[in-house]
Amino acid sequence: MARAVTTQRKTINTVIAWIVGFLIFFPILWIFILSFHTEGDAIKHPFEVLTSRWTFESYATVQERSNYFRHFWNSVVISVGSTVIGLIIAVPSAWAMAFVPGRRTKDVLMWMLSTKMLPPVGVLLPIYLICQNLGLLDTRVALVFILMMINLPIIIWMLYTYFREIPGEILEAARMDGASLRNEVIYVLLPMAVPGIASTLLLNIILAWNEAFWTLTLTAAKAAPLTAFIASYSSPEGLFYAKLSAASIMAIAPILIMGWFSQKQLVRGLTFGAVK
Amino acid sequence: MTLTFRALMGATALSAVAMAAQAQDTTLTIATVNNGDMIRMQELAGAFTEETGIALEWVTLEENVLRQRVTQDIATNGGQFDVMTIGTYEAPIWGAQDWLVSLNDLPAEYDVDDLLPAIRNGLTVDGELYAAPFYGESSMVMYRTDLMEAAGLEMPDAPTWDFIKEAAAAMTDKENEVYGICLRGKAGWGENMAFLTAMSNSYGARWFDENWQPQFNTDAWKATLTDYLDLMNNYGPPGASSNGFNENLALFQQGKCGMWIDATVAASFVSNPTDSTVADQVGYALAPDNGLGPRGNWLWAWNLAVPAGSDDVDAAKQFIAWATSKDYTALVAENEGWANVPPGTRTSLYENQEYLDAAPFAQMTLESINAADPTQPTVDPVPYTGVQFVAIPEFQSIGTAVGQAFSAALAGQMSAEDALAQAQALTEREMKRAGYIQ
Amino acid sequence: MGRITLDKVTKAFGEVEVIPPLDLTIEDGEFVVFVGPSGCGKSTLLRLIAGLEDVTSGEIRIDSKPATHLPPAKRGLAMVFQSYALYPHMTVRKNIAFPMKMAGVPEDEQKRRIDAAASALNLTDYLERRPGQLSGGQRQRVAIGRAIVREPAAFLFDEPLSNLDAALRVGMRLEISELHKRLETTMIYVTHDQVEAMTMADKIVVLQKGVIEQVGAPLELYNAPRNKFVAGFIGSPKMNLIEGAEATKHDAQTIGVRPEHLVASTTEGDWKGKVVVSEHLGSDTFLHVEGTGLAELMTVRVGGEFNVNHGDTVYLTPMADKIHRFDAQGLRIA
Repeated sequence: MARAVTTQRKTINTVIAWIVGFLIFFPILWIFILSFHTEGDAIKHPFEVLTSRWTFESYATVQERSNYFRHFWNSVVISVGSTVIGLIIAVPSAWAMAFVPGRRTKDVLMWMLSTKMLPPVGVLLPIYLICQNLGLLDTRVALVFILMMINLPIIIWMLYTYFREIPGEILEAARMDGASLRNEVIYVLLPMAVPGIASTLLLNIILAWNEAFWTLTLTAAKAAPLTAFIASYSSPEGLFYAKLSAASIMAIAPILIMGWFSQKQLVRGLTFGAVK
Repeated sequence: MTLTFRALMGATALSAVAMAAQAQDTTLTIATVNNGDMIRMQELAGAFTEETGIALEWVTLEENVLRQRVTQDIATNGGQFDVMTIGTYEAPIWGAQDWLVSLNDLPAEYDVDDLLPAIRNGLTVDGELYAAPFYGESSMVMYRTDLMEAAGLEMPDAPTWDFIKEAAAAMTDKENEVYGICLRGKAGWGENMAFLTAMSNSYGARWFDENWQPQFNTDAWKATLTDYLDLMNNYGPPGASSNGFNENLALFQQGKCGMWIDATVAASFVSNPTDSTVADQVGYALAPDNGLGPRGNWLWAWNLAVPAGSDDVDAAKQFIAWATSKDYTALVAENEGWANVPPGTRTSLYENQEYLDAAPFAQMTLESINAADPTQPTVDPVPYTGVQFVAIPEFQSIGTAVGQAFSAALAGQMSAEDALAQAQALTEREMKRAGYIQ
Repeated sequence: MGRITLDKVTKAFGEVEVIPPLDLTIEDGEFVVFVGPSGCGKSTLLRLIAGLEDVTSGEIRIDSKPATHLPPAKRGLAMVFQSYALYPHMTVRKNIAFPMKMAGVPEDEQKRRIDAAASALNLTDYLERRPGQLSGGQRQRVAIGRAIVREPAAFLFDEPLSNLDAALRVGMRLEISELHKRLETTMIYVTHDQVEAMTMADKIVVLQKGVIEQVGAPLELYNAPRNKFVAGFIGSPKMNLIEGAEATKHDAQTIGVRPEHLVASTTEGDWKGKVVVSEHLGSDTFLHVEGTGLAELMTVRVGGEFNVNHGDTVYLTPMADKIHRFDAQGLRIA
């Protein structure tokens, strides 16, 4: 329903929205700008930065010094791997909780969420020691597994919410139509939940991509993802803003591009799913 | 649906393949800090691999993150690293814990006696050398020759604190954003406390007496902190309580500092014309004193060490011997010029005329390093080693807590007396808790 | 083919028993309607037969074969849901084909059955559309089509018409009745609307609080309700129930007279009252009368030409042979 909003109010709201949006985006923009300057220019007064020479120097240096592709590939394996495995575990769990709730379902859900309230550093030592004893330090297997465990509550919660939106009668109809549980999930539940699953997948890939505590703690060289790549350009001595900015832009670019493309996918998926 | 499913399966399969493809031969994993000399070593290390066939994996981290990661690994015998970059603070502590492999058996051509004694002593525990210095640094006064001249003063080679005060007053021109002196103010044991501890040595102050009793209630500490606060409040830049090395470097390079007392390594940055607007107007002097003997400079080195958990100790030692050798120095000189060789570790470097010609700050660095004695940092005897730190495991947290009190005093949130009283109380508490004192 | 027997079936949700032991037999080819007020357990009963709920105790047999523990897919029943429960991501064709795909029916046979169902249900032009692009009535027909092609032992309808508007509902009622005549398959139909029950059923099962109050043909229930509840529930408008002295005259605790079994007159009759509301439907007029001293409000059906207004006095006389008598337990006195 349309609400009466004066043009003046609309204009003010629009301007405010743009300002807030710009303020939130500004740090990333500034990183982008710094990455195209020399170290010397990058620490100048902001106005001087804008007017000083633009250059790809920092990117060249970063490219030369680090094996970007290896870090990138580690990030891909870890984020996609942990999310996909997480989804494989989460779909049946969320199905059970959404469609066959028991007396303790709500408690289980809350308990799962509560694991997110524990600061990760609280379990650092046990997890570190477990990884060490299993010989999993600095391996992608360990990170895939740990990030999967970390994000599992979120994946299950998201799927649970999406599944609950799906009318139970449709699944019952499938059962009446002779579908086994497996077919019910594959032919009816999953296609209807595609937008939800897609956004769960995306969000968790992004979360895993940006995870910087475990990825820094449990990797050294072989399994180090892009977070470690960024971290290696921070320094207490000497100038590093430009190189750090260039490294950051290189690290977030893939996920930004993916987000931008899948945004269209997502919107299409959502309108498609709006049929009820 | 089928498409999504296939994509997912594909991704899983790919990751499985990727996991299988990571076995290799002898590879050393080296943890290092991100600074110019270390980065340069990474670039030149191809020569080492060619020579020995030993592959190298680099893990470059910011100093504090590195310290945390390396500590974690070594304390749990994690074995993720074969070579670690550690500071002079960790070396004696970890050596005493048997966490590091002794380097006493390095080959004769390594010429261990060539290492600067001040540096070497800081890395030796009970006669065992536990880490090889990669580069060493002290602190000194960097000043603007043009401003000094305009003020009608002349910087002596070895200034006193009184002269520093006089010069700071004369050089300050707040209207034009020129501040007489820039010093560290950011809280942290490796930040403001590194400077203040070193400064306190020249005032005859010490952290602990021979019985581990904290000494912040002494007149020497009071004089140190009062002078520091006076200097910074009257002649320092605004917001100094959050300034560390990088912030002061930026200020100095932009011509906003008359004097800056900080790491000798800064000399190569402030004198580099591509980054610094004042590159040809920089002079150097020893850190100030008060006529009591010790000067207000520190002693720091980044060192390479082999953790006890490494499964390639021999290869690791081989690498360390290469990276801290005279030959490596020559290799850097050949590729990057003498001005870029890692300073502050070997006597022979300071006898090399080519180096002395290329690095105008070389003599000053050597003298600064030699002026510091980690085993006898201040006037009165102390039970610890370390010039700008106390080499006990508890120092990181105590030093940072004291640093916060002093930083708060600089920010005007408390008086010097209160900051000292707080420092004394919390240090006493922590030392009691750790069992040093009753 | 489609004989369904329930033997001492009970259902409890936790501590709450929604269906006490219940026996019921549905003959092959019968159109049975479960009717009752909401919460009477009629939908639960249907879902027990469908297998969507597990019985707590008792036995269900379909074609004399035990089906109590069979999953819904194995019972050979088809169900049409109140919300239609179409698969929104599939076209109409795929929706209808789904049960056959699950049963492994060959492609050409699938196509033949889809075409037959589509033409019977007027869906031929909509086969490539998605459910979201169809009207309510069309969706309902797709749901029915999906049920037909399975060639089930019985159809189960769970209030299938309650989401349609009144006009469509009448049309669909006829279509379902015709479908039953044509297929001669057992149909079990759940509704809370006694009009649907009366018009469609071969056999009506009246339920209240999980208990079967009466089973019988529509007119049997109309003419001889077994108790007060059935008497009140079947027939529209509701039967007038009268207690007290007037009932005692007939040796009963309660007597009941349907509105159509009262004769109204402006001049004389047994009971005198005042018209509160008169509803003119054209063919008929319903008068709501108060002040008779018998019941709060009495409803009377009169001819369309009978002309009284609010406040007018009317006299009511029950047809002697149409008076239902009930005892203290509410049971019918024969």
